[in-house]
Amino acid sequence: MKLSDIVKEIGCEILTGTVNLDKEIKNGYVSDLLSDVIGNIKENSIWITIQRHINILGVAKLKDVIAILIPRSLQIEENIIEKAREEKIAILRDPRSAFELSGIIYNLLQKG
Amino acid sequence: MSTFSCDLHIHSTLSPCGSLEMSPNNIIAKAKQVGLHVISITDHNMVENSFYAHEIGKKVGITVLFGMEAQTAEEIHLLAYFDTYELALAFQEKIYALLPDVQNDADYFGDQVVVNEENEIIRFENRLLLNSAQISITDATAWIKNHGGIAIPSHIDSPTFSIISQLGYIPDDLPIDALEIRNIEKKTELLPLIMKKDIPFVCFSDAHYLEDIGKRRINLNLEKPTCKEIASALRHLQ
Repeated sequence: MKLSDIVKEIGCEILTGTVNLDKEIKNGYVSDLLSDVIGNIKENSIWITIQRHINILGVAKLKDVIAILIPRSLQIEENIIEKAREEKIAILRDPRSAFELSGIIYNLLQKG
Repeated sequence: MSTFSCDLHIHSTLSPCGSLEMSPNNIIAKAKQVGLHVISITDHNMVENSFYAHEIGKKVGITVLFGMEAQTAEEIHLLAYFDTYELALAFQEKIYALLPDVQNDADYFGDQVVVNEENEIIRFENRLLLNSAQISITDATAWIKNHGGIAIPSHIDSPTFSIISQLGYIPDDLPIDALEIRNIEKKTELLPLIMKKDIPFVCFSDAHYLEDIGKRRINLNLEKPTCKEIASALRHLQ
């Protein structure tokens, strides 16, 4: 499923403009421990996390993550968003919890 | 210059996980017995027992750095040391204001007790200290360094609460003085995850029980055991 379609379905905020909107999302992962993400996330994923240290971009780059979704409308520093645009990683944000968002996105990806 | 034997990671009764025998008095007596010259009491998000340990240490010739093991928003444990109690207390006030107002369950986690030189209880801390202050590792490190302190991420080889478990790797722009590692043999394995290669490694006991004090330690050549000199000696460890 295209990232743009997921964004449309869930109605979340896009912080990085058009970055990766046309990319195909194949998988999802939810974790805030970056060592766990490095070990277990599959490529072409949307990754839901409340971790907002700039290392999320290094991990996303390493693991070919297409989009990072920040739940609970948590604040993220402007320099991280700018760097994400440069590195071509989408950052999204939504008021709902990681639990709710992962349920919704899981069902969308199952439907394909 | 003389050689100082240092164990800078010791928990006291003020840490919920610290044994109730870990009063400042008992810690200093044990440190003396095992030949340490410099120690630090590093309780979770608190510095108050290091005040009493410092007073007792003065009498028996043991230097006590005012310390804390802070837990940042990323759930990283970060050791902080200061030369004066005023600076350490200012750091504690900053951290405490950012610590969630959740009460400790003493039956489950253990009591968090401030104990003086006479082994008397000064107060119980009721807020749960095993929790993350809402301050980033970047901002906490910057605060420590801007106030003349020493910043050392704890047990980087641990699967929990370590900068590597939480952040995947150690960014190169963090002005830390050293990295604490439990098992120095893991160093080679972890090096690829450390972006700046010249950060020294240190081993401290992370003692929660008296018998563990000084079991891991480092020796530093110093004129005087101040934060400035220790930071400089650490740079030359590599």
